[in-house]
Amino acid sequence: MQSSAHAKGVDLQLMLDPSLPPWLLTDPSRLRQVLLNLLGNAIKFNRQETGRQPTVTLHAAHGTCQMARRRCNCRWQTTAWA
Amino acid sequence: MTSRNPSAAAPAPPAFNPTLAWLKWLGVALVYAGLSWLIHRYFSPQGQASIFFLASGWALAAVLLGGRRYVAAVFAGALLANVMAHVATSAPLWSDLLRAGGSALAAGAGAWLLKRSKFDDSLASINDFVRLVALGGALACWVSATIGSAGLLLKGSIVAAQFWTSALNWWMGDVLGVVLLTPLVLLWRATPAAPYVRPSAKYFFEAVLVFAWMLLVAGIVFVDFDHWLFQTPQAYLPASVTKAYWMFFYVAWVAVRQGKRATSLAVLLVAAISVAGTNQGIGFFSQDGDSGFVSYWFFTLCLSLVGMALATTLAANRLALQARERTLALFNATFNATNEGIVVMNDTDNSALWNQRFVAMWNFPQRLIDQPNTQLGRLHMQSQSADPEALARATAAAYRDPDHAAPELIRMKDGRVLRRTVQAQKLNGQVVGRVWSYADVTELKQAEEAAHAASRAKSEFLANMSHEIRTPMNGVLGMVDVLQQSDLQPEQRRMLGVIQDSSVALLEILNDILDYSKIEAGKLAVERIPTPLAQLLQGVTS
Repeated sequence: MQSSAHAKGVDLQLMLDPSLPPWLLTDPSRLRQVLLNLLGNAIKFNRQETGRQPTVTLHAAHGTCQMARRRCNCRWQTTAWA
Repeated sequence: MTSRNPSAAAPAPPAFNPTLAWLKWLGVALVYAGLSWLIHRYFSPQGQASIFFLASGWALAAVLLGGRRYVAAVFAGALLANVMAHVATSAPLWSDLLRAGGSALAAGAGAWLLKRSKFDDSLASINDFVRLVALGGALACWVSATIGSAGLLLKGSIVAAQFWTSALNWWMGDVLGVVLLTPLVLLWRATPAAPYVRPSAKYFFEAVLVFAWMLLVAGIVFVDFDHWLFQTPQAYLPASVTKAYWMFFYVAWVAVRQGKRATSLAVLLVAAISVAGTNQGIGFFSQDGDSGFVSYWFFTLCLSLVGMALATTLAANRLALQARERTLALFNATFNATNEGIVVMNDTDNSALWNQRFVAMWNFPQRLIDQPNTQLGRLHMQSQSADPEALARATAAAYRDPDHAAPELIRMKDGRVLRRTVQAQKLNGQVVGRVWSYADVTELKQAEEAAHAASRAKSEFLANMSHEIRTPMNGVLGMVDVLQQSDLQPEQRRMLGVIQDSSVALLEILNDILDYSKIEAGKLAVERIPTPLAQLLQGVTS
């Protein structure tokens, strides 16, 4: 993913919350698929502005799923700003 | 008075005809004078005010139906009658004018009072009859009685001490006239309330029979008809048998069986026969003191009140019943015309009501319709459904939960699909019954299944196609890999890179389509295995 980010001139960063558990019970291939799609879209639809380095951050943290209204182990957030 | 044609469709307001109006006016006056003359000539003792003064009833009916202009007609008629009666005695004209004015004023006052009290001149209910007697009779007749007696006093026919006796006598005669004749005119003039049903021959036969019997007994009781009939010098029947109260039997009979029109006629006929006898000093009332007139007056008033009260009440009930029957018929038509099968269960869980559609939908046998039985009916319904156990369970669930309202689908043995909705009827929080309705949704269900099948076929086609394309795609990618190892020109290497990127992108799309098909078919397996988080994330972002 770093290569496609680089091709668009986007700085790709990872922010990992230190309180997160080292292991999760999940389907690794599906999770990878989801995250790659999220990041791919973030990079693809990043707005180019002059003067600043565009950045996409994958932020993994503890959180609450608003839609399901119950606690979940991990919250994924991609932020993209120029 | 005018008579309306019952078959006339729309009562178009007739054009005002001055000649006809004058003729009617003259008619009212002449009938008043004629009645007055008839009463004085045949139905009252010589030289006394009549206890049976029907002309007052005619006057009130005329003013009630025709309006204020007939007050003058009553005045003219009364003046004519008085002058005619006094031609021989040469009484002063002013006393005649006074008496005629009193009669006309009483009729006008009675009609005015009744109009103000929401009086229905077809005597639709007992209230209307009571108003007529109280306002048009008892109250308004004091006007004519006091004015008339004042005329007698001024003329010198009576002395001051006799004034109230004279006024009371006058009042009694006028009240009886109103009670007897006004209802008759009002009822026979008005067309019966819709729907008008032409009386049957049986009705006429019975009416003729009852009236003939009643007149015969009235003749025996009041005018000693049995003397003439059996040619005996003494009364043929003992006085202990020939009692006036027999008349209540006949009037009640007529009120119950023949209606209010016939009752008003019956009461008037009995009153006329009995007053004729009493005048001649024969019959039942002649045995009483005071020449029998007070006794006669109370009897006739009671007879009329009882008979008319009974008749008007029954007529109102009959009309209400007819209206209810019409409403019920309309409801039944609606209930059976609806496309849903509906059955209503009452609080003891017996079927209170069901429509034809329900019977047809569930193929109910005739014996279950003739003898409804909840238990057998339920078993029959279960036998008609594809899954009897499920239907029994769903029904039990609906009974446990009074608020259960969600529609449920019932599959039938013959392939139909019914949608059932149950609505519990509550009264003060208590369930007092349930309405079960069934709609045939077979066509809807079939259309839904066809749409699902089409969608599935499309997904399967897509999955198969993706799968078939993936195999040669792997061949392309493998060969591109091999080709990249070989010795290539820089331009060729760039072109090979484009081929590789495009092939990888195409393969990803194919894989996604396969995943989508798997999700739709419910075959997408999601694993649940320990995953090193940091490693995975770094892999994604690297």
